[in-house]
This record gives sequence, C-alpha cells and structure tokens, in this order.
Amino acid sequence: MIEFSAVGKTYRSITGKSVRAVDDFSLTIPRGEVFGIAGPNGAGKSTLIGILLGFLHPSNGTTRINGLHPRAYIERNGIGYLSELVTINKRWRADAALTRYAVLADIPRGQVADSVEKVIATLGLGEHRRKSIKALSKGNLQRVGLAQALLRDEELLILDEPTHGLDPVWTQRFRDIVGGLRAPHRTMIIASHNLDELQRLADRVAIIDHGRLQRVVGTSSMDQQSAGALTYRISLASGAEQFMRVFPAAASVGRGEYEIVVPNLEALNAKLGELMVAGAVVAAVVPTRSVLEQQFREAVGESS
Amino acid sequence: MNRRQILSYLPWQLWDFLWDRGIAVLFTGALLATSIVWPGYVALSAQMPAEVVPTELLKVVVAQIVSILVVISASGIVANDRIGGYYRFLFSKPVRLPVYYAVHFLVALVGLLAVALVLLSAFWLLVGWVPPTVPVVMIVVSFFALGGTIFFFSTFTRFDWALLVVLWGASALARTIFPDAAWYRVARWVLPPVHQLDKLRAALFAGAGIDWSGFAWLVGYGLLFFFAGLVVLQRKAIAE
Repeated sequence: MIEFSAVGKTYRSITGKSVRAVDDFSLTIPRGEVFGIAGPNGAGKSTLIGILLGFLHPSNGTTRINGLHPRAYIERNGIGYLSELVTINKRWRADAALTRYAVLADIPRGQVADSVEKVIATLGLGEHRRKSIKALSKGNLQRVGLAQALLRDEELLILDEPTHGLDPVWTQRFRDIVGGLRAPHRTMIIASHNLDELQRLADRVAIIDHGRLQRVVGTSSMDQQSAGALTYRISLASGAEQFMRVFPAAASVGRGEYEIVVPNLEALNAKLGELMVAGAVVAAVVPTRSVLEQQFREAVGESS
Repeated sequence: MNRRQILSYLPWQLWDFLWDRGIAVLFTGALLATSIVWPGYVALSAQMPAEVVPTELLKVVVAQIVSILVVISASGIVANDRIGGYYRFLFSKPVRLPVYYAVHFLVALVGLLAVALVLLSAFWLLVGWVPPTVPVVMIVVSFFALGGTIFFFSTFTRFDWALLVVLWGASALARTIFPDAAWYRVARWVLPPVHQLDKLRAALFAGAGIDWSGFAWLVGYGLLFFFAGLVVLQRKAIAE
C-alpha cells in the first residue's frame, strides 16, 4: 500500500543553512495495517506525513501509495486526513465546513447531507454544528477535524496526533471509533506522542528520531512475549511473606505493591501460580512499561 | 476534480470571495469613487453640458480605481490557503490543485463584477446613466492582465501584491523615464504592457477602433503568467 524508499528531506533557508529533517527513511506498510509513528518533538513525523500527502517533495528517495505518486493517488482516490493543527477557515460554520469537505470528497450530491449528519452524530457535534470554527473549543475543533476525515469510507486514513486536545471521554471514544474502522481494505497511519495510545491501536509502530527510522516495534502479545525481560508491578491484597519467598528479588514500592522482573510471560505465570497456591491474594498485575515504551526509551536514548 | 465537484463547490467559493474580498472591494471602491465623484461632479458640471458629465466622470473613476480593485480581488488566492494551512484538508480530498485554483481565480472575477455592478448602480443613482460596457470590459481585461500576474506570484509567495506593484510600477516608470533608451526597447517586450491598459480605456470611451494587437499583448501577458502559475501548482509542493 505505502512504500517509502530511502526518503530524505532537507530544509534550506535563504541564508544557506540546512536542516536534515528526514534521512534515508525506508518502510513498507501493507494494506489493512494500523501503523503507528512515534518519536519525540522534531523527530520528523510531520515532515514524513507531509511527504506522504504530497504537500512536501522529498529531497531524495521516493514515496508511493499503491504504486502512485502521493498526489496522483490522492487526486484520484482521496484520503482521510487529520492534521496535527486543525486549520479550517475560522469564519465557516462547523456543519457548513463539513458539507464543503463532503462536496470536495466527491460524495454524490444526494448523500452529502446524510454523510455530514452521520459524522456529526458519531463525533457528538450536534450542539456545536451551528457554531463558527473560531467559536469552537480545542477539543471540539479536533472533533470537527476528525469528522471531515471520516466523511467517506476511505482506504487510507492518516491521523496526526488525533487525540490532541480531546478530553478523556472523547479520547476513549476516539479509540473505539478507530477500533471500529479496522478493515482489511483500510490502512491507517497514526502519528502520536502517546505511546499508550499507539500500543492499544496500532499493529506496528515505527520509532523515529532525528529523522531516521530507529526501529519498528510490534505491539501484539506475541511481540510482548519475545521482547526480552519484562517488568511488572504486582499489588497484593494479602500474603507479603509468601510473595518474598516466591520473588526474592522483588523490590517493594510501598502500599503492598512490588516490582518484579521476569524473563518472559511463561515465567511470570508460573511464579504467579506458585504464589497463589501458597495462599497469597493478588489484586493486580500491571506491566510498568509496555514493550513499546521500553523500545522507545532504548531507541531514542541510543540515537541521542 | 470533476465537473460535479466544481459546480457544487462554486457557490461556496463565491460566498467566500464576497465575505473575504467583496466587502473590502465594495468599501475601497466606494471610498475612492466618492473622493473622485463629488469634487469631479462639481468641477465638470461647471465646465460642460450636464449630459456628458456622467461619462467624463466615469472615465476618471475607471482610470483611478479599477486596477486597485483588481489587486484586492486577485491577491492571495493561493498564498492565503498556504499561510492559513487550509490546504491540508482541502487537498486530502480528490481535488487537483491547478483546477481548484483556476476555478477560484475565475470566481474572483465573477465576484468582482458583481461588486462592481453594485458600485455602478450607486453611480447611476447619484450621477446618471452611462452604459456599463466600458467599465465591465476594463475590469475583465485588467483582471486577466494584472490578476494573472498576481496569481502567478501567489503560488510561491505571500507578497504577491507587492511584487505586482513593483513589476507594473517599474514598467510604468521605465516607459515614462527611458522611452528611447536602447535597453528599454528590448525590456518593453518583457515588462508588463501597462500603457496598453490606458490605450484600451481611451479607445473604448472614445468609441474608436481597438488596437487588437495591443489588446492581445495585454491579455496574453496576464494569461501567460496565469498558466505559468498553474504549472507551478502542478509541479511544486504546496507546503514548500
């Protein structure tokens, strides 16, 4: 579906200074995958997305969507895109803006109103529909941005910091919406600072830093299992003595909670079984860091 | 971008023009025209028969304000979307940039003509009837000549109107100060044909024959820039 081949991008100022924003970036994203892009500020995420949309030309390398130049693909098919900054003419009314985007998305005239109503309902914009864009709060504006990306059943969705400015209720709702959009014909790319979000939503996540692809991390439990030593926090309702016998190297972090390191999930389960047979009551077992978080720390640490 | 998209989106573009530019064009035109019309009306009424005053006055008004209204109408067509970041959602849809902005350009002309009709109506009401042919032709020709050039600049800079003023101003100055200089005889073929606008306006008001080669040069110059702008939009990435 999407192919970056040795893509590089250098910004040059008129004074001759140059900044290498993306460097030798190669990656293939197959159809149907939910793919995450993570990286610290200034890592090159937005530049990569700009190149993928054809809003920026790479200084070297090529980008293809279904074998086509990005602009050729988008002009032919359109995509769903939510930018990090939701920039819509401030004078437009929310529902009118969505109607305009529906018209430009080539939704047949008779279906425009239905499509707009559907996204307004999905994104809970009913009470804000008649407000001008400038009158919307940051969260509501973000929802309008997301709504215009979901007007059509697109084969490609690119969401740049999609939960930026959303409250916890709508962050959760957004995750449900994206979960519902998973389909074999649809590829989704989500760029986010929020590793927990990417861990929940994406199949794989590219970690980039200093414009370079540092690594691609799988987020499934299989990947979790093969990721090496894992750190968990265990809360006990009772049985501290039994716990220290089973996990002699555990570190107490107070209030009946302990941190343990296990080589893999099988070892964790075996030890927990032993603990419960010994009579301890376990209240919670939570990974202190997801595999993604762990890999992110390693990758960004290595590259800086 | 197919015909259905273009036709369905046209009313929105026209509405945007009327809000974003139309009001500015209306007020600027009204202010400038008023500053010319009233003293001009008093002065001309004392010198000539009442029936020729409206035509003579309209000559002055058209000469003074059409170019300014065209610059207000045509500036920033591409640059404003780029600066505001509005291009992001617009061009994630199946829309071709050159087609979108070519339609935008023509909508600006239609919007300008609509506002000019309001101004002309006020002129007819306050001064007297003059056929609208000459002002309308001058607006259309000026729009293609000046607007085409400003459209080209707009594809790569926010200072489109400033570049236009410099280019057309340089052309007018060079023609006035160095009309016989050897370099000007060459440069005049490259610089904007400012003088052709004056010639055309004079010929139209006098009802004399039009210099069609000059007319073609004037409109062709602007159209050449307009099409060059479309090529830039096709080849250059909009966020660069």
